[in-house]
Amino acid sequence: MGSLEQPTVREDGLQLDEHRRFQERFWTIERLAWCVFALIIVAGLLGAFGSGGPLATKVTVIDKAIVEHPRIGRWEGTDEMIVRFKSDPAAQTRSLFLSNTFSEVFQVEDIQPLPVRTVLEASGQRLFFDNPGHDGGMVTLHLRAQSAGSASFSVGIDGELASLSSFIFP
Amino acid sequence: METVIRGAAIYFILLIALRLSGRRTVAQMTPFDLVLLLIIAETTQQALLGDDFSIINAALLIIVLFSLDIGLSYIKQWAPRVARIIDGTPTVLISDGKPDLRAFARARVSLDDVLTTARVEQGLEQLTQIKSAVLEADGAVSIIPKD
Repeated sequence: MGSLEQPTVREDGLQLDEHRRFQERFWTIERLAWCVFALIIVAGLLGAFGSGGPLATKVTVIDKAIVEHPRIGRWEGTDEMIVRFKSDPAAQTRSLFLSNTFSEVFQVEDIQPLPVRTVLEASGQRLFFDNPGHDGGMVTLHLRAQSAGSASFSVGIDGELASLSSFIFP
Repeated sequence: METVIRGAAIYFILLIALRLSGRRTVAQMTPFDLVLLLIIAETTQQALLGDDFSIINAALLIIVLFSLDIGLSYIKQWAPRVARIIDGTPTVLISDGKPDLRAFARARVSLDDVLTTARVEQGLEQLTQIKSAVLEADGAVSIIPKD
């Protein structure tokens, strides 16, 4: 039926197409959608869509450090990556390697503390931090995701590589 | 490219969210609903524009949104089933003076809502004076008084 066709006149005199069966189905779908809305809110609180929450951050423990990175992020949204260096009596300088794939996904807006030097390598960049006390410490990188989708990258701590991945929501 | 995708994505997200949230919210708009609408508009604006406040971005977005609206209106004309899904259909709440309580409950409309509309729009005093009441597809309640 085209939209220019006249609706039929009902027994009560109203000239309209009520489509009650469709309406009943739609009311059911509507209520199911509200349940989905509730699930989305719970998932949001848990961090399934990034920006905080237990699911949004992944903690990776390696020999030399503990790395917290955004497992789920948002395109153009800000995030943090925290590297907690474990104490190492043999190391006076600690290094953090960020692969090129990391730089393609995240723009590093700020590093706290600033590295004493940065070395450019074919596969990425290596940042060096003085640690004269040999007792480790914490480096925080403030990131902004530059592309949407899933991404895998490597982060190295004192030469030990960890393969990490993130999903960035558009 | 990004602007077109942003515009289309937000258009359809808003369309789906508003449709699924139910039209009663549109019909009985309280002052808080108005504030909520303004907040949604502000949130949408940020998602649409991002960091790009250029005139070309705004112009492109406006054209995308209008074009989608025009395109959808043609689709609705060609396919009435799509029109029903997107716009909804009228629901008869009172037929021949008899209230359909199931329709009232499912559409989240109360008898008070109908009586208020009857008083405001038709000057009717009682439910018995109403022949028909229809919850229109746009969320408004229309009242037909008894002769």
